[in-house]
Amino acid sequence: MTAFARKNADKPPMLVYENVRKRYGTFVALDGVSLHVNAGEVVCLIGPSGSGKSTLLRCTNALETIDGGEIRFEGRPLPKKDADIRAIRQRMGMVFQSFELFPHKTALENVAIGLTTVKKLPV
Amino acid sequence: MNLDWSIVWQSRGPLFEGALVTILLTALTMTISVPGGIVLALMRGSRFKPIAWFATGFVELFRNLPLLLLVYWAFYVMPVLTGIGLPPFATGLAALCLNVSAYNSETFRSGINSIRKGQSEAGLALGMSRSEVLRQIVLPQAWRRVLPILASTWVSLFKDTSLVSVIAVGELAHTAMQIRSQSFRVLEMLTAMAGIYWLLGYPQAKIVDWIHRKYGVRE
Amino acid sequence: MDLDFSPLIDSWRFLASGLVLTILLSIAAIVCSFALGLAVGLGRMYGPPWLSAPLVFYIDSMRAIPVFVVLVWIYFAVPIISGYSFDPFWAALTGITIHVAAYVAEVVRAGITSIRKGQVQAGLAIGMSGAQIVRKILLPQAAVRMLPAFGSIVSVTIKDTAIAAVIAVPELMRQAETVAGQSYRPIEVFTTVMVIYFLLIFPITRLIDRYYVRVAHLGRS
Repeated sequence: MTAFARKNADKPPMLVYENVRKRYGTFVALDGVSLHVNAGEVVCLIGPSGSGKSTLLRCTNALETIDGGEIRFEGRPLPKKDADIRAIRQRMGMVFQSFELFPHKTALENVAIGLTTVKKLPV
Repeated sequence: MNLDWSIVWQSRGPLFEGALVTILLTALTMTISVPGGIVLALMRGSRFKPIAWFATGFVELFRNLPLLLLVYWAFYVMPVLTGIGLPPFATGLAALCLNVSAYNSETFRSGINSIRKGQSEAGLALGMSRSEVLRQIVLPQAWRRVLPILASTWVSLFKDTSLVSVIAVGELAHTAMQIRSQSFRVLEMLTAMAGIYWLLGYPQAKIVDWIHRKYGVRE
Repeated sequence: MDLDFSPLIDSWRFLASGLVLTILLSIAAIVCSFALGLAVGLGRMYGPPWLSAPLVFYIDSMRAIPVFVVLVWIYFAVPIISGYSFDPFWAALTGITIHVAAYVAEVVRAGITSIRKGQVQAGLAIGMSGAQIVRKILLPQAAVRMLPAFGSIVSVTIKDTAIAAVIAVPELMRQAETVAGQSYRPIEVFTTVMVIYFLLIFPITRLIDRYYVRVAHLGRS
């Protein structure tokens, strides 16, 4: 356990998945996934292709909407309104499988874009 | 067959003016139809369904009709719709704008859609709003794909202006055809008309090729 | 605004004959321009070097000169030079074919050059001749990639047939002008003809789009 995790071990979990369900048409991607993740924990999801790993991550920052169950971040369920979801996303970091660097921006701009554009910190 | 090519030189004034009107029509139409196309493309992506449907209907209608028909239709319908007598230049311009805006909206739509979904998702994942994603991530990348197509559209439009000659707009084709009728120098004037279009259009086509080479995106 | 559609009902046969001619001219123009365009495109890529310059000149000229100008020149100027008097339909067919074939040639060239060189080398490696490679490897893959561009060329060709009205070909546009002029009901006539053209062109472009979506994967490398 990291020092950070030890310090936060008695706090409520940062991320809670409760019986999360997600369907694409007739294909069931997530079938009642439940998981607690504490602050400072490192969790690896391992599974064969198509087992729902990416789906679960995409549901976590609301790139996909779930069909059943609940996802709670910092004790509160994921909001529905766009503005609130954006606020949540500013507190979550996501790296994509295909990296998704922005080719039209410099390396520095890519690293800083979250801070300059989204949080509007001065350059 | 006796030919007298001096008529071409004698008419160089009116022909030059006609060419200017052609260029003016093209420039004005593009000035109106580029923003028009953007507006239509955004309307098609709107989450408010009636707006999206109207825009889609508009685009599909004006993309699938002959321009000549649009010119005639505008000529007769617009005075009735607006209640005022409009000069042929205005109705010709209107018909061209309707047509080219529809084409441009498809250009912008395909340009925007050609940017991988992952790029806009990455922007969203950072907490950007949809409009920020559009402005910061999608449009800066999409314009490179859009520019060559807009350039080709310009050249097509330049040729299409010849069709408004049928409602007596004084552009190049109409001017040349008039001089032909008045002077009976059919072969000379028609060849001169083709020649002038060639002289004006050939460099434009080459510039479009250059734009494709310089800005085109190779996957 | 009082609308009176009766002239359309009275002249429906007249307009219908125009529609038939539009369809005939469209089909003929599409077939001829694709044949000519394919020949020009292949000729440019695989023909003798001295052929390249004239073909490029022809293609670039058609990008500069409007269809209207080509049609008018063929119908009015060629008889003066050759003494041969054209029937409007054949003048229109010739003009549209010459104009559209240039675009077809460009699409053919772009389609073939977009196939990875490795494909050609693979064909050579198993001992295929040049002609066999073009026929069996390049063209089938290129054909799929060229489909969207071909679809838009088909749509443009049908729309170009309307321009034949200015050289008095009695196709739909011309017949509509006549009825509108005689009945003094241009709004009703042209609006109806707009609907007819839309019903003619829209399903064709849609069909080609749909077909492309289904076969697109065959053209991807």
